[in-house]
Amino acid sequence: MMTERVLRCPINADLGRLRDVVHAYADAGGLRGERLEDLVLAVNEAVTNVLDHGGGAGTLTLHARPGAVLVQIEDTSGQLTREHLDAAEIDPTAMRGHGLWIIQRLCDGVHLQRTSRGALLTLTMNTPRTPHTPGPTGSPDCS
Amino acid sequence: MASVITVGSDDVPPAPLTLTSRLVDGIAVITISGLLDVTTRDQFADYLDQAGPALFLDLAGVTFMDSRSLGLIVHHWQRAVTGGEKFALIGADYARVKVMWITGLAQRIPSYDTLDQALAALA
Repeated sequence: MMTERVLRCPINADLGRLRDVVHAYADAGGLRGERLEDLVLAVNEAVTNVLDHGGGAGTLTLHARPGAVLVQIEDTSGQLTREHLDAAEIDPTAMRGHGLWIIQRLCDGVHLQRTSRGALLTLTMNTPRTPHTPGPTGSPDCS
Repeated sequence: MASVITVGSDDVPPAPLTLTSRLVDGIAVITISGLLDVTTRDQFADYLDQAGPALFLDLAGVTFMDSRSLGLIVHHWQRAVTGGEKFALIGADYARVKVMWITGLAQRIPSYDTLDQALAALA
């Protein structure tokens, strides 16, 4: 039986590296094609929000389990609320505010909770429940 | 004119964005190559601020676009519309600039496959 695998990365401005880590980890977790790219895009939006509004730092945690890949983005400001998620919409005249809408449009699940450190956003992508290899030997890391 | 910013060192992958522009029939045609994300946002914003007001943005070389970059493009599109200036996107491919398509903005902003098509339609 496959156990859940977890990887933690500090959030910083090196977004390219974080996108690469998410891509490799989610691919190893069974996410493929356009949905894999969708998750990378959604995580990029969430991490950008942390850099802009969420205290500029936090933790990215990736979980791969049978049937799903989860990415958790925890900030250090706690300013993100359920109301922000619910109010997200596409205003073609606005310069900002598209990120939360895009995250909810692309991911199968978006869950928000408060922690002792800040706001914790959990993005879920369902994966096919077919057997797959548990990923490359050289699995991604954050070092 | 051209500007190239390459951020990084041996252990940090580069996040380059290359912006070049030329005038065609009084329109600033800006060719965008590389990443449009938080690491290149200021460079992109400054470049767009200094260009125009009539703008064609060639997105064929864009490898990634985030929603903030999309917001900047929308801002300049709105500014051009308000000022009665020409504005168009060129080469907005679905896979590489997906934020533009899922938000519906690629369908609202005048968009063409090639510069010649944009010029024929608008210039």
